[in-house]
Amino acid sequence: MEPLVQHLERFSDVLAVARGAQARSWDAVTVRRALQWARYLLHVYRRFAGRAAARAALERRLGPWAGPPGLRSFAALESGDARLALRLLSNRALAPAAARALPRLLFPGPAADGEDDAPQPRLLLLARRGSALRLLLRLGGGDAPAGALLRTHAELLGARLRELGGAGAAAARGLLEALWARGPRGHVLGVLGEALLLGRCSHGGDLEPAGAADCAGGAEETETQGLLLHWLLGSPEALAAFCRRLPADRLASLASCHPALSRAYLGLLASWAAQLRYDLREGSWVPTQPGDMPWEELRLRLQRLCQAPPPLPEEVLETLRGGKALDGDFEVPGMSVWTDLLLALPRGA
Amino acid sequence: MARDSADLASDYQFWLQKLSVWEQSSTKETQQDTCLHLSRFQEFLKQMYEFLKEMDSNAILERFPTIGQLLAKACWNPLISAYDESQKFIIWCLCCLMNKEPQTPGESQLNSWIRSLLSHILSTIRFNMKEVGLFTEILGYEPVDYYPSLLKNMVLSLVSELRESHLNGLNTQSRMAPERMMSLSQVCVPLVTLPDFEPLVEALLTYHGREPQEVLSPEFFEAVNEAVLSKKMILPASSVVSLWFRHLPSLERATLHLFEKLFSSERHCLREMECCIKESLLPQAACHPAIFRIVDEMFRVVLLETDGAPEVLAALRVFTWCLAEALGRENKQVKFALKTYFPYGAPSLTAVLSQRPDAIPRSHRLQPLLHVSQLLREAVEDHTRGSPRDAFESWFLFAHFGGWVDLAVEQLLRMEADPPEGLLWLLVFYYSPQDGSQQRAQTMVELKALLGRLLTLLRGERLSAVDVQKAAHCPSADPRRPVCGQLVRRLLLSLLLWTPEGHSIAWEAITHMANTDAVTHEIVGFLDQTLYRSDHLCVAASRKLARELLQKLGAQV
Repeated sequence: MEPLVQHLERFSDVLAVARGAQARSWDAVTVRRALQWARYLLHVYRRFAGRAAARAALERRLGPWAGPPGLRSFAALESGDARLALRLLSNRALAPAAARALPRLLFPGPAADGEDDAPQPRLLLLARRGSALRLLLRLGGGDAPAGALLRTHAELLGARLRELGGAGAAAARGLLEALWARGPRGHVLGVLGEALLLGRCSHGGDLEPAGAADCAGGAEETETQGLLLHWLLGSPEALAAFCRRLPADRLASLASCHPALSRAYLGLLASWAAQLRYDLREGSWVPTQPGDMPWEELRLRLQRLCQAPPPLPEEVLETLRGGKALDGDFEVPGMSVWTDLLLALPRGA
Repeated sequence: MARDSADLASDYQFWLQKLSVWEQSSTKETQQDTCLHLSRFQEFLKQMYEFLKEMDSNAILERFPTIGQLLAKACWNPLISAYDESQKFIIWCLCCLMNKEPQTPGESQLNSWIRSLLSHILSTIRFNMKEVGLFTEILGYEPVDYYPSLLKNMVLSLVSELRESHLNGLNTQSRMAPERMMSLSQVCVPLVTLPDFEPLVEALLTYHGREPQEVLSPEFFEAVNEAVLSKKMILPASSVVSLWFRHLPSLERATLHLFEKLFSSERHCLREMECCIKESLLPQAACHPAIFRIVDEMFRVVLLETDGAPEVLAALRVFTWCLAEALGRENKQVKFALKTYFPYGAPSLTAVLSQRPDAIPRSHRLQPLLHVSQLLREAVEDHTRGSPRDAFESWFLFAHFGGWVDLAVEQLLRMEADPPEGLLWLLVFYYSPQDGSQQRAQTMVELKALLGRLLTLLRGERLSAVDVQKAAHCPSADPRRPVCGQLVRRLLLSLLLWTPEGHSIAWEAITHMANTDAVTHEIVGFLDQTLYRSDHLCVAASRKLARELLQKLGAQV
């Protein structure tokens, strides 16, 4: 195990150099050696691919290492050659002699056609897949279909969290903080929503669930979803934005899969409801601040929750009735927002 | 074979022009044109590589000054770079173009440019949305990590879209527009052999829209068909059948492909033929009468063109047998009447013929045989109905079910008394369908006489190969037409195999008979057929002898 981990750490150093200015000291021999190293790691990957215990042990061992996120997993062993190739090809600082030798080393010609561990066939597959993506993107007018993109990012996020989770929840939280701080927030929230639904039942959405048909996710998904929820529920700003910006349908699905989230969501909805005041002239409930959630949206979200499987509908009604009671149990509209909400929900909800 | 460099140069100009036209727009027509040319362009790239690989960079640039342009345009055309092995040849050509020892800044510049082009080929996605790039950067992912996943999810998304579109048939809002489906099928043309795309290809093949005309591009069907035939792609049988239903040329191409395999210069034994035929999925597809009729028609054409070549007849028999097996396996509620498969035969005749001969107990075989003979005779000799063509139709129908001929021969050789006319007629008709009724009657008489002589010999003291040969030879001065020769040889060989007396002189008699290659092949075919048939018709000793004889003959040929 130790030598392997050292190899991996050494190789990640090599990858870092391949990207940077130190590459000007490389020559053809260095490049060839680096590629052979990548091939060795690929063999290791193939040998252990079917052995879950060995993989888990390796990932645990890699956990505390502070290397770049791309290389901390077992899966990273598989694609060392592709990473190396891309870095070297686009590095302007690479020494001329090495740069000249590089294409032939990567693509030797017909001789390497049959070797499935050489960079050539693997890079060609990458190129072909890239063209396929271009064609599909063009079909969609230049953008990936939202569902597919969210699903992919959710899967990637899940993979990262799993790798980091081995080192403790702190590292996972750190990643999520970084995403929240830097990434476009709308997108991040969408990805979080998708990630919390992976492997579970969902109502709507344009992709069928990848996993089981019932509400219990696989062990891996449950673990990462636990991490996500923990962070989300512990970050009030993120949670508020999450519950505000995601569509009502999606939140209803999420709430029915994660009880802790449904409680928090309901709590937020209640607090937003409490901020509305009745405008006598308009004859409706209006927000006090410009950024508050309007009546119609509130009503819609509550309605969606009531359409979810039990026990959600009961919880919603309980919350509303509780509020109504506190306000004085008025039956007349315009006195208590809770009464009006209850009235606005469809019969039998 | 080294291509003439002048040819290559003119092709080069053609392709450069084509590429320039294609990069101007990506309309449906341009895409279709590109798809039509994909395999030829790949062939050109391959030839270019063969030509360039021996040359150094400067020589290449002298010969083809604009080659950089050509390769770049090819790279940037996603339909081309997605196709099969084209990206491989483009990259190899680029590697040839690298200057090993650049002397001038211009040459270094070229090297630099090539490297950046290679880099772009490998990571070509530019998303419109910035957030995508940012997100993956924060997580530390590179193209090699997320390409496979993104591709899989986009394919899944499209498959879902198709499935929903299928289910919401009448709701025009959620249906996928025909233009989009056409574009989608065009996009798939270069990618049918990429395993990631298989779910999408399957979904497209089994999607049934509401439009009366086909919405998918014909190039798509051709590409899938070619991939399946060359085994670059494995599809479930139902998808392949769907493909053939929707695109007739693909069905024809698949049948021709099978024929090429079956009737190539090397001989195939019947078991190998059965294997090839089953592998082709055609018997399964032919459970649908519409498909069967087309395949049957192609068999008919080949039979006519080859004048009833024995291997074609054998293949037809095996095919029909495989079809019967496939039909038996199908649990469909709706079974088609036999008439729909064989419209050219009288229903009563078709019904009788399609019974399995070996399922009939040995002692009861004569009656159905005579019945078959009678029905056929009526169909053939009924001049009020038809033309000489009808005789062919009846014979063609009969040829599908060749097991009856085996039965007829068996019955004839077991008879002690006079052979019934019906059996004689049947055999003579099978081996010379084109005879007029008078000629046929004459042949029947001669056949009867021959049988008599053979059976007398059998009852005699010792059987010798020479005696048998003499008895078979007709006293008449007319030179034996080759077809009747086949019948005579068949009777002789059957006699040799099925009677204990015949076993001892079998090899000698065969060596006398096999005086030409054609006859040897015919005998080999007969022995092979004997081994292939079910055990009901042949005892173990005969099979053993047949196997030995086949081995000995096989060593000779």
